[in-house]
Amino acid sequence: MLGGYRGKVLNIDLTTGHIEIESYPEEMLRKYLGASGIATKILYDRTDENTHPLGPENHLIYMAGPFTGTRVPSSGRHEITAKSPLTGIFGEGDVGGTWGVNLKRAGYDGIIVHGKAQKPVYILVEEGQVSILDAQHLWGLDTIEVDEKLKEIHGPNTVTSCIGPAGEKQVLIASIMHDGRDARAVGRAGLGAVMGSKNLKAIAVIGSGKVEVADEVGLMECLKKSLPKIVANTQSLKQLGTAGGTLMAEKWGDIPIRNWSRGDWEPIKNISGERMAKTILKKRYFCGSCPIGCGRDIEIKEGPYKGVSGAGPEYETIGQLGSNCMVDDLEAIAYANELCNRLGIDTISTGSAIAFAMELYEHGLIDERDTDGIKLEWGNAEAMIEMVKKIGNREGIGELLGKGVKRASEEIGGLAPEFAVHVKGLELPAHDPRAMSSLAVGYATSNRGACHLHAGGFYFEKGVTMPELGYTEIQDRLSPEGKGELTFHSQNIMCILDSLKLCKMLLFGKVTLTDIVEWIKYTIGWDDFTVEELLKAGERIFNLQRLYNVEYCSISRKDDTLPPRILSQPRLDRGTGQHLPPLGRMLFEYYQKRGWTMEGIPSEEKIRELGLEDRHIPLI
Amino acid sequence: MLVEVKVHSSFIHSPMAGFKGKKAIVPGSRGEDLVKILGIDKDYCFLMINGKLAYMDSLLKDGDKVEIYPVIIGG
Ligand code: SF4
Repeated sequence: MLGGYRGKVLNIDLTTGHIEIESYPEEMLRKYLGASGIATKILYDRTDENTHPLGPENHLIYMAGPFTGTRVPSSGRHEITAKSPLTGIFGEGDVGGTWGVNLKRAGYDGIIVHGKAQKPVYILVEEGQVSILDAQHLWGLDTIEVDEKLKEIHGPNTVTSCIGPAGEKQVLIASIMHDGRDARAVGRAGLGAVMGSKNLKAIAVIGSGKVEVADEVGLMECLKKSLPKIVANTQSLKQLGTAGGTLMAEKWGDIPIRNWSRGDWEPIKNISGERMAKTILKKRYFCGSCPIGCGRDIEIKEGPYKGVSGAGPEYETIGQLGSNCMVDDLEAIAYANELCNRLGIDTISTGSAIAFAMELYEHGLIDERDTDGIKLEWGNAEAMIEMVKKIGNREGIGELLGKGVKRASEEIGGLAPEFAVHVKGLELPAHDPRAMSSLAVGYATSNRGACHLHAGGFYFEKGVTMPELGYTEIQDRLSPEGKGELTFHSQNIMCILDSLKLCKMLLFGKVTLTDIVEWIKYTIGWDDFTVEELLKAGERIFNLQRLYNVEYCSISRKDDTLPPRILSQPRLDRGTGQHLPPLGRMLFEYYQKRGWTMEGIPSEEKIRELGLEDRHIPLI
Repeated sequence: MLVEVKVHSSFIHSPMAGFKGKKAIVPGSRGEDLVKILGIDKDYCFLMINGKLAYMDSLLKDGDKVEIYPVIIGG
């Protein structure tokens, strides 16, 4: 019996109400590890080019990892995977909190949902028992209200994953929210709309069982070695949250300002992590099994935003709803963040869409007749908040912006696509490839579109090292040298973390691949597992996602690019000056390292090397 | 007056990484003044004074133990 895994995955057909239990052979677990890897394989098996992302045939796959629910640090996480309605390609999101831990405690590794319920329903998983229940009384509620309601009905230990009004209305940038007021988000790629298209409002879990590991004593001894370095090296995240480096990000030319069109911005000091700690921070928030605690629990006690409480804005949210819109009012951003969380929309895509709209307004491509009288000027906090409401409720111009900047810009036409900052339809997160070169090739090639958490190379430009791969020193952030190769490695590592379920912040805690192999040994019991096998699994998972995009979504080199603004318009700030990332050079190196053709297609040789030639044989 | 300073070893963006020792500062100095003396960019770091989170405008007292950590940009 393997440790870590519970060995059972629920397969729920919402059209028929039929529930089955699946389990996967050890050989497959070793090949795909768990969470993202297993979910990728299931999505590859069960959807294809004919799958409409909002059709009943799409699969919404919740999957925890073998570490979830154990004492392995920062492992209280799960993945949600589906074909994305925002981008039309592979979509997934990694999230912390306590939902995944409770699912594992209830006895399951994952839940696969497909079909479409005739009326709104929610799924309840209670200590191994599964039921599909009427959700008419929850329909229309925001995500915090849903959490409160389900706790009222099923008890205080109920942990909820749900959509808000935006997901119900199938807004294409809708998120799936977890843990109520603690608001842990699967924000990206519009997976909340997939949930809404299935008439599925929530999945509530209650679990108290134990996730057994192969060697409890061995694991504890091993963790005693790793925990001190993790805690010591992540103090910034604990004390200041992810927004701790906001001032440095402005100085480096990393954080987006004015829809990515300019550099230095002095008011950044008003919206930093330090400012949050000094003013509205109540306490820190820790996801399951996490010794770091980068989450912020805030409370606004006075002023126009009095009453805002719970999860505070992350760096990404501050970068998009704040500096990218030139809003320097931290409390307004915190309120907009709470609105996004309640309505269930991604703060990154939402902030990005508002910044895009502000630029359209500036250039006269839209005016007050389009915005219902809102003066959509740079820095107008009230206007930013009103736009959040419009997007989340799919009202007025919010209907258009909620389709994401790619679709919106195509509908508006004219110069609008010039201001749409996205890759493959996914808006850029708040890190600039002009400040860290690896992000250029990372965004261009990551499987869900522009994503720093899938790209991963920028960690190595900020200070992470990985001795097993020869990265013993910080990488020069502006240089393109070796960034294709770095991105090859870092994307594979991101797949490993997303599959075992480890928070990426552990990299700042100097966790090595050797540490992870040790944790696998004591948790799962694979004594002969090696760093090489781990890296191969990461590479295999990444390539299967790419094959999904190539075979089912016609993705190739033509799509592996960046917005013109990032490629050819320097920030001209003190951090990046005239620097522009030479994408073509890095992409060439990257394809070579990946063993892909120059058109960006995995070669037959690479496919065989990774054991993916049998990829059409289903998992079970 | 003297303060005890420790610059965390993970502070790769500063040549002062790993520094441990006493520093003389003038009375009335704030966090910002101390990091300036040490040649550290104030936007690249944060301070803990006597084990508690402090800020660049925090006043320093004789005998304070000041730890200087690098900030981490985003997630
Ligand atoms: S570091 Fe932050 S996001 Fe990661 S597991 Fe811990 S609290 Fe959650």
